[in-house]
Amino acid sequence: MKFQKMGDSNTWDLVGEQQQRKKSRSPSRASRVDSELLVGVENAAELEALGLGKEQLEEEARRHKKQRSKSPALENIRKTSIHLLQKFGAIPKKKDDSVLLFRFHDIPDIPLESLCIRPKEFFEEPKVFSFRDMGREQQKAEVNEKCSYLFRGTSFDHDDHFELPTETGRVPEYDHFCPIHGSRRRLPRNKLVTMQTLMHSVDDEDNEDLAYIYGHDFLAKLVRKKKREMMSGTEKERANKIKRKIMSNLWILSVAFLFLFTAFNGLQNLQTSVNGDLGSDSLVALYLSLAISSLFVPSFMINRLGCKLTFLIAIFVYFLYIVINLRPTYSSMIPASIFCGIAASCIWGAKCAYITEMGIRYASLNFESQTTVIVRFFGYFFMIVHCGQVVGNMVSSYIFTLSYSQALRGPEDSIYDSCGYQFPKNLSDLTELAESNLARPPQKVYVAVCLAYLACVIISGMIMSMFLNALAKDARNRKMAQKFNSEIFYLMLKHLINIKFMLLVPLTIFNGLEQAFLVGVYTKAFVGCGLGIWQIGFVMACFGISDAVCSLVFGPLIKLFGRMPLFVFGAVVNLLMIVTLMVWPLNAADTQIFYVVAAMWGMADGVWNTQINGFWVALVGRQSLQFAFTKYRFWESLGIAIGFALIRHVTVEIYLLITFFMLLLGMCGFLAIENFDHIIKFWHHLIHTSCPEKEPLDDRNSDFE
Amino acid sequence: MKRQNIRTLSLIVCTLTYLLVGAAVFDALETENEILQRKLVQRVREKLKTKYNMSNADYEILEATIVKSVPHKAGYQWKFSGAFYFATTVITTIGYGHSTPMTDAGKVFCMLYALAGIPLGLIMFQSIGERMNTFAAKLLRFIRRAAGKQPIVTSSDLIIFCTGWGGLLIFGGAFMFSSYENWTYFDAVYYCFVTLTTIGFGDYVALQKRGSLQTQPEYVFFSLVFILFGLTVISAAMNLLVLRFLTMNTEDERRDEQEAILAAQGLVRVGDPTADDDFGRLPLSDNVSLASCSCYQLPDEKLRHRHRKHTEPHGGPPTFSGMTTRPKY
Repeated sequence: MKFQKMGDSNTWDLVGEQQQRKKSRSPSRASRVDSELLVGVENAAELEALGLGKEQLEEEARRHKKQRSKSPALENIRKTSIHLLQKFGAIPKKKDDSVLLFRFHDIPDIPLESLCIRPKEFFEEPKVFSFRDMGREQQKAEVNEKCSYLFRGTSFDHDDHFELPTETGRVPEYDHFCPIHGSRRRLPRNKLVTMQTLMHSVDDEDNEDLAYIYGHDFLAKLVRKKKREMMSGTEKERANKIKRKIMSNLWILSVAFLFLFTAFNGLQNLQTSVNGDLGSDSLVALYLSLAISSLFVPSFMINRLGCKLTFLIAIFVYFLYIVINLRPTYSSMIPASIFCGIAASCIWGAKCAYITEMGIRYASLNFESQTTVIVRFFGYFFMIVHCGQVVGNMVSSYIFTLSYSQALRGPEDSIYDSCGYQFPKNLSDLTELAESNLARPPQKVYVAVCLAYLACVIISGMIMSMFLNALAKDARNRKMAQKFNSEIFYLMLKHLINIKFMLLVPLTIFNGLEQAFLVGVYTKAFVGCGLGIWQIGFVMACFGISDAVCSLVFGPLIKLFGRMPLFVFGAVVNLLMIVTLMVWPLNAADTQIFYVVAAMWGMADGVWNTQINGFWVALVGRQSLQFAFTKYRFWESLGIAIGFALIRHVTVEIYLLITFFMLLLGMCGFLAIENFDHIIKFWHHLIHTSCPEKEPLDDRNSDFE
Repeated sequence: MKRQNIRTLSLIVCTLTYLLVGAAVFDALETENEILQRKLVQRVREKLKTKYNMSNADYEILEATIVKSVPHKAGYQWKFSGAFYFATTVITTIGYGHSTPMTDAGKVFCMLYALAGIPLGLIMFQSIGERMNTFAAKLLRFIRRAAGKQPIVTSSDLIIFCTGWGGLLIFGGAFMFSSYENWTYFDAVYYCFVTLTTIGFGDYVALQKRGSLQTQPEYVFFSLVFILFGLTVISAAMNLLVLRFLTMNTEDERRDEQEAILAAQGLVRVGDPTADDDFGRLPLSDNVSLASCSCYQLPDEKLRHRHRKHTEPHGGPPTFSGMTTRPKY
């Protein structure tokens, strides 16, 4: 949902790349380079035509490499922190790309003596001759004048006596680490040069540049750059015009959404504390209908009506929802919430489709990679929409403050027994002070807030209807007779059995639970009870700011640190905050804590929103981007719905406990996915060793890989 | 004996001697004052007892109460600002001891917190320190160029620069603290020094008068910024001075290794091979040891090629059918 990236650095192309690499990883790096050589990108002739010879490519690659390691500060921080995290085991050590060597059963046991000859005298290893080494040796010899009498001529003298490996036998060679007569046998083995490191070093020295130069992405990048340069005048002008139009459409869409979600978020945060049980029930209905309808309604609506009309209809439903909020009753609120949930699923789906379409168009005009552009567009979009959380909350708090101004009291410096984790299920147990804090604001003030939000929705609808261009694709689509499209629904059912995707589900549900906690419990049992309803907006605005900033900042950070540290960071922050809230005897005089908790929660939420979504895209995005988004939205909304349902039935303390364990479970699932290949490998190994004759088990598990 | 061992031993001896000397001097300086203080306390106690006709037990209770009330007199220690101050003293290892966790849960969390926080803080300060040094070098280079000199900056220049900064910070900060806390200027300098070297005695602690943790937010802000920024400057100096010594042993090890490689190539005398064969005189270099006693061979095209190039004149290309390298799964 909230998918924040800036510029070219983003999770998307990063995780996408990673998966690509995993797929194309063939047994040895060398052969990989061969097979990848210019396959599929553009043919060589086209490259030549664009004036990209081999030399230019190499030159570019070198320059690019230099650029990459430009900032020593970041590099330093990255290195130390990665090193540290590796030490702690928070991230796995860099994987060896080389072939894993296993002792093969077929090799008969050969007595060591026949292979490893005891050296008759001290001798040197014959060193492979190269000119580079020769120069170095002579230089050293000159320097070490004193020892030069020991310099035994040319070390490659020994070449003449070097034994050939024969057809069947191995090379009998002296091994320094031979456990029986190697001279270094007592040295710790960790310094031993194994085959892996040996091959690795060779690979790194020579082949990396090659691989980089001929890498798919790099070539494509260069080609695009050249094409951009070679565009002619009129063509360029036309393209620029369209590009400008696309950008303005993006901004219009973002601003319209900003207004819409200013209203919706602001109202949602007040829902549980102002409307009590009705509020949480209506939110359950809303998110449940959002989760279910997101499976099949959006694609149907978008194909039928087109994006723009879908937006307008959805905004109208939001309008009705807020109108009904003016005088909430069960009979009116629940249906309104259900419709609002359907509208929300449609508006999110339509937004995704619209931005994706714009991104593809823009990319083709500007000769850029599609994913990069789309991610950048989503980044801009959410940057603005996130501000909605801030603005909406400020509006509510400001209006409440104005109306309360005569009756406001400063917070009392004592422990509030009936607030925080001790918040009673039965509201009649509240202390007098808490009750006065939580008292429903006068209807006049509440209506004022609602009307302000209503105005926001109207403005959003006006912007959308007047300024937004409809997609050309929609008109085309409408002409075709559309059948009920349940592709996503089928995909969902199909993937329900896939273990790898299921492992991410607990974390996604936790993401929902955690949002529901902040919106439903924290606003009521902590802020509302301790400080008064009029403060909710300020605290939540703090949450909104930190959420927005962190979503923006953590996007590029993933490139530096990788996915794992960010997830661990989010998990640790969130766990600590949950524990804090569980033990904190609420004292309203300690006002800063409310803001700090909200800000920290926002930080963790920023991690979850961006990274889980990115992870879903990385896992399922290959099949369909739309599907990845839908999956994320489905499970997240389900989590939120569960959260709001829980609020009704459990105490704050138990809710926090459930959240805590859900997070632990989710992190276990996440770790399992990260090490999925290892686990599967281990599993295979286990099966093989326990019942070696059963082969067909391979087939069953092969689709996980 | 190895050079590294000698260096370590001499450092140990040096430090012990330094400690002995220090103990002697402190002893000489402080003993007299301590005796006087003891006498004074004794006299006041007797006076009080006789004046108010107190029993010994009563007096002890009074004493304990006064000691207990010291941190409370300073205001709330565990409100948010106080807790933040405490957390700062934990991860910077200043540890004044003006307020300490009293509950078991607090103590456990404090330990875990320090475990993760101290390395984190250390790395952060070092990282900023390194950046500051780079910036300072740039600045100095610019100044030298402007003055028409060769733009060369040595590390001694940088050390002087850092020391200057640190001094400025300590004396400037001391001025602020002396005005806020009503300490004498000398005491404030002493406080700043003890804080920034992270000794943190706790005899002078900022923010402990008149509940300033709650009432003077600007002073709280100033103190925290002073501590954090000061530590950054100090670690910039540390980065220049101490890290060089810290890495000395490692560098020596590396040199030994290189020597060993050279020895293997016959460039350096290898010593008596029978006497010490347990430390490395034989090649460790990557491309020298080819196959070992284990049943592995070279599957890599590149390496095999190298091998072949090297043996070509003697016969056909070698084959490696005897050994199997095969990735399982």
